[in-house]
Amino acid sequence: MSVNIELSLTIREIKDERERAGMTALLSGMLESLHLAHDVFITLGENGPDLFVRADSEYPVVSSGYRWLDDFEADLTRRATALVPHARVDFDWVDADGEVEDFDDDW
Amino acid sequence: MTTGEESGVARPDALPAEAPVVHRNLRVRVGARELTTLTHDHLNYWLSLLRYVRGGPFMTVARADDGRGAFIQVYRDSDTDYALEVHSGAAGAGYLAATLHDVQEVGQLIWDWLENDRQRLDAIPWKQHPLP
Repeated sequence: MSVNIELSLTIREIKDERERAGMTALLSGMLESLHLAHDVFITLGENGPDLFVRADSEYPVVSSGYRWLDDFEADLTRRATALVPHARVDFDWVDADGEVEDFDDDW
Repeated sequence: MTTGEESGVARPDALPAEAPVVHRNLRVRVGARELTTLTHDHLNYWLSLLRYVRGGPFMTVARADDGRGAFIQVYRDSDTDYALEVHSGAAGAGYLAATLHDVQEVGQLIWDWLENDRQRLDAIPWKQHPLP
């Protein structure tokens, strides 16, 4: 069964605006390369002293059958932590019922 | 940052040489979304995506701590027509409106408003309207 998924991720524990600008550019470029730049939107926020960058879609944009998700998660995490070693990338794939998807169970 | 409107050669991941200017504690609406923080790049990013956002192709920018209710807002009518409006927050002042044709100019004027830089804003041939 195919399940459509809303893309939702947050890059947390960013310490300054240089780091956040670099991370935003990285995320923007990756979404563009996946042709998701018009469907997944990037917002900036703060949680106390920690800055974060968030990306989320306004509707399901990903089928759980898509194999690039694994590579996308691994690639973004690798590149984000190479750019800012103390950053943390959290993925929250949400299905149509609002349930957080665990793709490891599917694959 | 880039958008889907742009194409180019992949660049290596890197931090910028300087930190961008950031405006926080804002009340920004982009369609159905609410934002609190903008950089100049991020403002231009959202303007380039107005046609794709849920809730309508508009952006409203105000300062959360401004008790007067001043704001600047833009509605994207088409690729080449952007209705820009500014309200000073003064009681009974109405609002200023103009149609612009360059989204980059719209972004610059909204950023100028955030920076309290009136030079370019004052050069726009505004039309005065009463508040509805």
